[in-house]
Amino acid sequence: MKGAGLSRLIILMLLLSFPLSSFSAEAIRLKYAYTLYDDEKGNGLKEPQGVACGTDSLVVADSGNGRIVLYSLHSGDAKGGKEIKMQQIVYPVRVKISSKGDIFVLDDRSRKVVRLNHEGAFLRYVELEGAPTESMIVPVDIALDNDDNLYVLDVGNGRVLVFGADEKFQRQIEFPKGYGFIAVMAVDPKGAIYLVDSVTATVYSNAQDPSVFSPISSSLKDDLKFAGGMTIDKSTGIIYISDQNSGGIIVVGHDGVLQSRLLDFGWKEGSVRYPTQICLDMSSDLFIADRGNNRIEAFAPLK
Amino acid sequence: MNKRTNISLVILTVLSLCLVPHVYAAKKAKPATETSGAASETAGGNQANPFRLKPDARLKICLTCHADFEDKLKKPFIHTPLKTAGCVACHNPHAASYPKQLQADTSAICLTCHKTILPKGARSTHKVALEGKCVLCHDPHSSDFKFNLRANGNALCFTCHKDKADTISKVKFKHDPVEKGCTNCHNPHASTTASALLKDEVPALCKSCHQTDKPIFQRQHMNYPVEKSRCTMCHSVHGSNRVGMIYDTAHPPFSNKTCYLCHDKSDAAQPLALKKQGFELCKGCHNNLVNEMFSKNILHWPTVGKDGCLNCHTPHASPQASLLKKPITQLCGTCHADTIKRQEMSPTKHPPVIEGQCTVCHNPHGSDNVLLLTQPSAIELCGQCHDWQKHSTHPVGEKIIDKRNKNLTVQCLSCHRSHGTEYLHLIPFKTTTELCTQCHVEKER
Repeated sequence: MKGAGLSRLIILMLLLSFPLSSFSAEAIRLKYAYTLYDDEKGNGLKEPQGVACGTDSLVVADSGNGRIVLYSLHSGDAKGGKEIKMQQIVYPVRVKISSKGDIFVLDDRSRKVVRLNHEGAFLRYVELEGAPTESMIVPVDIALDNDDNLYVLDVGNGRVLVFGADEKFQRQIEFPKGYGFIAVMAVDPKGAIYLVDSVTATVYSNAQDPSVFSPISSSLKDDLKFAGGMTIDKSTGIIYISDQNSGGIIVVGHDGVLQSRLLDFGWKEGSVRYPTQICLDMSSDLFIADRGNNRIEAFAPLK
Repeated sequence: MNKRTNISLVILTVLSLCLVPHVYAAKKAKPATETSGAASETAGGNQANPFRLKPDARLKICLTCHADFEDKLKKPFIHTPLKTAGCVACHNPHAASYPKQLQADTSAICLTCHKTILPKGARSTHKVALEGKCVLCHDPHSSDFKFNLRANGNALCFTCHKDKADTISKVKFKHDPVEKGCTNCHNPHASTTASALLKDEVPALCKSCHQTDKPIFQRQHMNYPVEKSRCTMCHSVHGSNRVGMIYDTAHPPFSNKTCYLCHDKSDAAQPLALKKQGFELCKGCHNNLVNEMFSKNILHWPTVGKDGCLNCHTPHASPQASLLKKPITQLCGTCHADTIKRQEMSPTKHPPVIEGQCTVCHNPHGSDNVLLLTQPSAIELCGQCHDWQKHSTHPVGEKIIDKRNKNLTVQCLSCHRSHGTEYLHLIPFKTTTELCTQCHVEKER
């Protein structure tokens, strides 16, 4: 009788624990790591809007100072801070690093994509003009996939342009029907494109059909006031979106379901004000262009 | 207490629980319906005469105390239930769960008879009708006006819609149907066919009077096929100070009838097609503005979006200054809804935001400053209105480093959020102590 009671108790405990272990996704949490305030000469960052993570480098679009700052990156630790200043870059807002270390810079003043080598020397402008166009191409965000194909978010024509690693135009995908305003994009390792409509806070993707964007989330407006940047964890497919207006990061599953909201609006280290571009390094450390606080903040994942 | 007693107690409890709702429901007697009046009256009392009042007593008894109602009953229009079933049609003479001893809640009692006033699937509904505030327009007892209305014709509508009354009385060119009555175009309760309680969609509603195939109509519209266009894009249907009831702010190419500057010619295959897309079209005349915009570090993206200037401006005519599509708070709120909402919820209001003067601080086209601010320095920007605080305040300026962050200097936005917070004085902390001790940590207790 005593044995039967024990068995019942074990079965009951197993039943109770089943839903918890089966249905709860592991919540993502971040631990504040450090802040980048300056370049290697001690000159402070000013309104940085862009940050990109490479295999061994971290690039910052230091918009307010009209320059790029190049840091070395090892085990999540950014060092140095070489200033890259040139006439082709006046107001950089977005940066990306290719697999070979080349730096792509979106300059908001010239509305052009500038390509630099891994040391920051000017190579050339990416000729976006190869794309068919009705109106002027106005790029507002850029992305690279694993094969170094370049994706350009063109609000002038309401579309995403795709260029090969050789910078030749490949194809275009129209923005989804009835969109409000789209200025944030990310690409997953397979080349699926993700967009956020800032007006409705809806995430769109062309993962199902490469030629069409479809919503993958409902409106996330309660938790996402105005998207400032987006990145995708290459290993898990988890989407991170920065929220400019209320200060914070939201985490969305690749199925479009909101998982959590991280960080708070504030001035102190570990808080953010008007965050814009974000990136993840190889160790899933998150770097945030904390524009309103004139700095880059680094966070390590807590699991 | 034995087992049998326990069972009895359980049965009694269950019975009690079952009976309670019925007793409560019985207390709320249903009001008499309009059709159940004298016809269904019997000596023994029924639903129409639940109080078994004698036929001539139903009104007279009430008037012995409510003598002022005698005058009301002399008016030409008496509410049918009052006339046929007396006061008890709507009021319970003994006790009721609702104010004025009504038999049902004020928001529901009228609908017990007037069931079809708010049709299902209505495309627009009059807010007062939806909220059951029928008595704002109708007197439930009697009136000098048809349908027991509290006032006649437009006078009734203007008691609430004062802004419209003001516009209609002042405009130079008046719209005849508006003068004759709002209900010429609007349904007073709901519309199943159109927005804004309109009897039909525009242009179908307009075309019920204005014949678009007449030569004069075509001449007035420069022979462009506008019969399917939305008339209210250009015409102010409640009247205006411009000939043809065009909105007060008109785009010169439109008012000068030089439509061909933007559109193809009227006899072209697609006469309404635009000559260029987006801002490229507007650049033809507004070249300086576009060039200045493109010389800035930051563009307001809608200006260069697919619809370009038309994201915010209307091309022909508008009741708003600068041909804006909507009042500016609504317009900016189309995309920046959370910013507008934040101000609405803020206990301290910032006048430029709440008054829709977004352009005092932001340049809607482009700027060299972050957040499209009109000035590079927040101190200078805020100082436009708060001048004295530039001279007499907490130390601020380029030389005062924010103790929380060595890359920031102390300025107005170090302590305030200009669009509002959930706390007083536009500060992002519950108390000023909490705010001050952000930097003055040594004072923290």
